[in-house]
Amino acid sequence: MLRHAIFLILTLGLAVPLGAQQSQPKEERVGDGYLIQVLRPGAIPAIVAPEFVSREEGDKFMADREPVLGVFDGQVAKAYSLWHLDRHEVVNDATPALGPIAVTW
Amino acid sequence: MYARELGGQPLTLEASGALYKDALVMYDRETQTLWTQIDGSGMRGPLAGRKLKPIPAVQTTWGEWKRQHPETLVLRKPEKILNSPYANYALDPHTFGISGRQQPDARLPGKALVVGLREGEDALAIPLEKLRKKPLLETTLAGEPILVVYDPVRNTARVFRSQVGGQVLKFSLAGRGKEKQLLLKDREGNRWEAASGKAIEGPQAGAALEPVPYLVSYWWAWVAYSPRTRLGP
Repeated sequence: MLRHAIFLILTLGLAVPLGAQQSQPKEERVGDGYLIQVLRPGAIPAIVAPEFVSREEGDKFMADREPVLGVFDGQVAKAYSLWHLDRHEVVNDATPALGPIAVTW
Repeated sequence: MYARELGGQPLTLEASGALYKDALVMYDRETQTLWTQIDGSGMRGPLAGRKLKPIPAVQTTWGEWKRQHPETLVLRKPEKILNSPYANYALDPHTFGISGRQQPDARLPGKALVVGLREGEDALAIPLEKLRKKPLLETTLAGEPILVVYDPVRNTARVFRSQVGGQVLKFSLAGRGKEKQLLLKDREGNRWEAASGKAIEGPQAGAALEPVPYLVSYWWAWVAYSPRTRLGP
């Protein structure tokens, strides 16, 4: 998971040389790895009541080359903008065929 | 993407703010169990040892997804018509709680990579995307002239002070040398190795450009630590 490795290196890297406004992230051994708390839970708020619009409506706020995560459950197709996911990390959604789903990237 | 129902109970998942083995860790608001995003397994808490069922999802572009699924729905975003990759979410109602900021900085997508520079009160971020298109950038940091050079072969950036011995040098790309080293030249007849900042030829041969500390960071992480950052180039 290269992007997460980068996130880890950089948030820790930023904390050290720049004399961060926040304290050093806390580290805790869990299993055979380390759990590193960089932000408090909920600092990146998940979406819990997602609203959807049609493709035509979506064209008003989506760019064709905008990256998305798409899911198709056999009946319903849904797209989630990755730029939007950036800000929330998780969208708690549901589809008729799949039931409750967590859209995360 | 995961199914978030376990034993009939839907879980509300959220970023926990923690990382485990370099992966983002989620938690559910119902039991506070921690879940790794890599394989959806519960790592700690009442549901530890359980596993969320992964759901196949497609990562593509809006244009491509529409072609495949003309009847698709799309997650509503704050209302603003986007006609560039770098959207302006001036009216984003969703808060972004890092460092107490209430508004995300929407000048770039959160996961855009930037070369981040900071000196004194000045902070400057240069999108890697821009450097890929134009690998040599002459700019300033805290009022001092600097040089940012990106080598796409090695996928590395370097930042140096452009002032040598009281003189501000003007640089341009000079092809590649031994072992495909990226080379620069200036108007004084010197050739420099971009990776080391050393002059290998010319009146300044043997001299070295002073490196400027920098980081490559996600935009959202950079902004969290330097909220008033300038955005280059």
